[in-house]
Amino acid sequence: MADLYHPAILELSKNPVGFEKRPDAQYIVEAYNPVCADQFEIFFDLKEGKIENLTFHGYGCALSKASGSTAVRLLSGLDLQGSTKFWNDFQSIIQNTGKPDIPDLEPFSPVKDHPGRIKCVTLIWEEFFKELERIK
Amino acid sequence: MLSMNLLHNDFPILSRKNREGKSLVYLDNAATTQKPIQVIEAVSNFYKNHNANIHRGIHFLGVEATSIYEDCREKVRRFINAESSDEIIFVRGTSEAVNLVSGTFGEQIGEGDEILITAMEHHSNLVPWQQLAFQKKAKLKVIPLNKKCDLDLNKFKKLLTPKVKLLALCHISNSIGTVNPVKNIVELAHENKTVVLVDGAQAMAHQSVDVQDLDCDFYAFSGHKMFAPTGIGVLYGKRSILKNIPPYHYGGEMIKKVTFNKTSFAELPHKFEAGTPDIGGAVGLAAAIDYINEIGVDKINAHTSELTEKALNELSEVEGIKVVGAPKERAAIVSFIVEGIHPHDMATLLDEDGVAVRAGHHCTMPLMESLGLQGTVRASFSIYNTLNDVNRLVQSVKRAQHKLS
Repeated sequence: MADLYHPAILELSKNPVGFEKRPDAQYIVEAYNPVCADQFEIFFDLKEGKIENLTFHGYGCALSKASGSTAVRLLSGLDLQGSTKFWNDFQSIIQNTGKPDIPDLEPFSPVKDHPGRIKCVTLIWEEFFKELERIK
Repeated sequence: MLSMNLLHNDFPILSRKNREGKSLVYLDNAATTQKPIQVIEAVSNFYKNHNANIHRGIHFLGVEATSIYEDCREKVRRFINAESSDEIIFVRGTSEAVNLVSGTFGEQIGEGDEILITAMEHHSNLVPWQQLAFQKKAKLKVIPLNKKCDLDLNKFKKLLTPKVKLLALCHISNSIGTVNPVKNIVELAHENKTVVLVDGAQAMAHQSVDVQDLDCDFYAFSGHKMFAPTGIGVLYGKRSILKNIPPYHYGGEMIKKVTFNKTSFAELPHKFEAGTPDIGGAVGLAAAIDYINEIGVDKINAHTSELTEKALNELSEVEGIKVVGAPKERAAIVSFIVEGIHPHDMATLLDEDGVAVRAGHHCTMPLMESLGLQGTVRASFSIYNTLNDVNRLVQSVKRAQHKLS
């Protein structure tokens, strides 16, 4: 079975990207997992329909931090359509329904064999896109 | 130590291997215990040979099933030394038992009254009282823990005011393993005319429980944490209280006479058992009691205490590990945190090695918050665990530390 803790995931969990509070952000969203009590805040601005200054902060496992970092890396600067494409690709990788060639997302593919950990990698993305839908 | 070969043979599931082909070390017993073949076969035998609905059938199977079900009730009575089998109410589990009391006895709580719980309660013995307090405009008060995760008994005495109508506390903490001095606490509460409910979910598979000696008013427990099937549990209540509180659920089996205008209710314990109960579950619970009695609660306690002691000693020696709490008396539960590693990451890596533990808040979010923790890794032991299981746990923890460091 593929290793759930790919070196890229371990690196992002130890040195997360965009891991900072921005209380003056245009939008602040809470992401909470009642199963494990992991809790993050997601901060972002929207300028002319594009996601800017995306950051996150809080407490969570290695997978959730790596997943949040990947969201920051991939989604910053994109509009709704572009960011939603990555979200759909991410879900297809996790659910094993497709194999899009996106190097940043590939390390998360072993999660498909760990149903109990899927929420860890989707938590921040799900809440972020719920907020985008609400804003839309 | 108990004879492990014999015990292992009793639990077929222990021969399972995980996805990596590693043999199972099951250390999630505080969540639910595995079931011995004696329990599985007793339930199977009931459905194969005796199944019928109870208390109504004239036919021989109905009579047999009724007799079996009521014999199970009597077996539970003897196991916890209740005065009468009328005081034994079959429910789905501890949560339902607590809800039954909060939904019936809770009617006696009024505006300005106080309900006392402890900081170590499982959500199942917290949320029902919190919601009752909201509904009745009563006040929910919480007995804090000291640094060792024992109840702060001095603060308890101060919190025990004449307004406290009910005290709800666990016998054993599911998160830390603290064994509470229930008998002393009940005595103090009764001097204050406070009714006491004890959540015994974690106690039944580890301690002799004598409800008359404890003198508690209610004692709730689940079968599945003591080798019985899921879906069956017990609420013990003193007859003097049960007979004066209203039914919890309405329907068949719990009535004496029904007209379109009114209903009179059945006597105890049937007043509290609406609908067809989990008869097979009761059979499984009785078989689990037989199983525990055959081994002996004292032997079980000695065995799991030895495992707990070894786990405490060895985990404490691993750099970066902190065992949570150091209570005066600890049941077979060891909760720990690992520096820099989230409990769920640790549990996933232990699972790769075949070691099944629980990680997270263990349904005690307020306790975790008061301890300044998001969650812990929890290893909990039972009769079929071995000293080698503890070795596997410790080695696996070290491997995970190495991998994630």
